Amino acid sequence: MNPSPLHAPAGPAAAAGTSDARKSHGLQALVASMASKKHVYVMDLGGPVQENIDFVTGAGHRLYIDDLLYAYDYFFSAKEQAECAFRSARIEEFVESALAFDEKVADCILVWDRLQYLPPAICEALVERLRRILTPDGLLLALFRTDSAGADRPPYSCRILDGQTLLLREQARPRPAETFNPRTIQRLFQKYGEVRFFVSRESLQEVVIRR
Amino acid sequence: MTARSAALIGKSLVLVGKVSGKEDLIVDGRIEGDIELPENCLTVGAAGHVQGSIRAREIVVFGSVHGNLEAVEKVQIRRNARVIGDMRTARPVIEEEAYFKGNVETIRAEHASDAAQRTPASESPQQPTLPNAVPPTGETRR
Repeated sequence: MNPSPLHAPAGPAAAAGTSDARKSHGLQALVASMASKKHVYVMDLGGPVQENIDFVTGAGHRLYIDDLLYAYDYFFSAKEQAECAFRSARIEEFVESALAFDEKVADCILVWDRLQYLPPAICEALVERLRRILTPDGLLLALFRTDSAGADRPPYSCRILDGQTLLLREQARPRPAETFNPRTIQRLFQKYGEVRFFVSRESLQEVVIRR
Repeated sequence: MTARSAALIGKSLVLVGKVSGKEDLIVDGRIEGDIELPENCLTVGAAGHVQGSIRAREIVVFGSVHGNLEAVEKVQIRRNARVIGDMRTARPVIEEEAYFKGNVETIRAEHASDAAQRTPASESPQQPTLPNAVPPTGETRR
């Protein structure tokens, strides 16, 4: 872990941009899956959001919280991030520190749009670790903006308003976003059993992936 | 009603070892050890740092904590705070501009009074049922 405060992230970015409530078929699929199980273990990797905490714990599920972007910012030095050159040993170290879980423990993982804001090598390593962490029929929900085109975009703060509605609010600090389309998303999750795409408004692609 | 002042660990103070008592405490310095205030409120100030488990009636964090938190009433992690550890409380409140890494488990109201009498968070028999956010070196969570 990078000990230098100079390289520490500015903190999870304040929600300051536009916000938009929308029906989410991806969320519905996850909630339906959770409803049929007992002792569900949910991982929310988009950082703490009070609505999500209330929703998940209120349903009696167990919840783990982290923010993959904050973890990335904190772990890698500014130089490493700027050069985007990551040694495989460093990537392994990061994945181990960010997701130090046994295999097949999580029933449901919410990564929201975080994968889009990580360099491809980091993203691929995390996706593989997440696959191992998921239970055999576990689900992962990811969001991808298909209009990014390599531009800097503010990540979303994703709030679960109810079992079928998400409020997406742009955070204050834009970050470089990788470009994704259905084919590259399929390729990213090729080791998973099933990838389901849900049409969403504008250029947002909701994807539910089964281990 | 008279206002009760809390005890204060000042910014320049470093305490190593277990802290326990029956009064509210504000930590602006550094504590390396567990804190036990089962009937009181523990506040970790913006400059404060705690390396150890905390058990209190209510916990408010403005600074940083590396350890598990257990509060029968409420845990509040305020903006710009940084907490790595599992949380067990009746009312978890985490502001979005805070960083939190760990498990959140809510205690139901009827269990809250029992929890106040229980063993410390670090010795809790129920704790292993959740993956530990602060595992011993080399261990993975489960």
